[in-house]
Amino acid sequence: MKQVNDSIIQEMLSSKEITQDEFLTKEEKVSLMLYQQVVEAIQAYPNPAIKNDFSSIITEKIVHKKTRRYQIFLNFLIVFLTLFSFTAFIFFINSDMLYMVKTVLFQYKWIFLFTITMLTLIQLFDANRISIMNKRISL
Amino acid sequence: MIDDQELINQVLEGNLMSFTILVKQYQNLVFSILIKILKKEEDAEDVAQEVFLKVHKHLNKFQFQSKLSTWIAAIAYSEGLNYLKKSSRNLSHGLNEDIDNFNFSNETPHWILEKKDLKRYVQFLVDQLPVQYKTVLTLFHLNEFSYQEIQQITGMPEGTIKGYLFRARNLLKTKIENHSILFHETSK
Repeated sequence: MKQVNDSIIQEMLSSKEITQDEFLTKEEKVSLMLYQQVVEAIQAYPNPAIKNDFSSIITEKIVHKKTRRYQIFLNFLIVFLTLFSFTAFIFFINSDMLYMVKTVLFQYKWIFLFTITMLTLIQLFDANRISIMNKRISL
Repeated sequence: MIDDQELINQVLEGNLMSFTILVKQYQNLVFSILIKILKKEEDAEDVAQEVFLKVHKHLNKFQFQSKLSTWIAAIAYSEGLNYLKKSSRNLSHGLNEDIDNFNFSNETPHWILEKKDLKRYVQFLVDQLPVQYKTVLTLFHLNEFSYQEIQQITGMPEGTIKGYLFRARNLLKTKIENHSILFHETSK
């Protein structure tokens, strides 16, 4: 009997029909009050302590993942192109072609050296500029 | 509060600011589910990050067959359980507990008894309950999900959910009934 009453009381609690409790006995009313206290306590759970920058951490991770995926794609592309060029070079090479390459390299050696140096310097300055910007953002 | 549909469309267009808003909107829900399952806040934070990364990855598959909150809660619940299963140190407090023969510990922290704080005492008891009980209890009473929504989140049949709710509330009521004299002052 108590089990049935208990389930009815809980059903009242779930359906929020607790205003109609005139037909309950004194014992059942105490039971209902205790159930209400249980529910009120559960509803009064404090909000979980979440870091203020939690959402920023998530977006940073998403950006990082996307960048990493792009870098992996680029690396694969570079490896593929290098292998392809190397295979093509091996396939077409002969003594005349080697002589031609050597001549061109020696003839324009200063231009080649200047271009490589400039490209390396640009890369270094760029990396330096990005790290300074990141430091400023984190401050 | 921005409309879910609009927010999702903006996120799918690549707007990360909208995703930040989405995270802020649902982080309390995700944390409240994970803390009930995992207990430790650090673990909950790690898994919450995974949950939102998964939400971002699979948002294009969300078909509005349920509320967005239900879908996110389902991901949080499943990620939380997976983490619990993987983490062997938590197995003794995990899903393998004999929930039909569950009993509360007889020890009550003295600070609860001293303060005569009934709400804190009930919350202390809820935290002792087996994972299934406390998850269903908080999803229903704290997060205000319906039986059907809890079914979508946990994958449990509606009858099981109602059974867990009934038994958990009954256990809590019986326990506080025994302590009602202690908390008589606060319940007045």
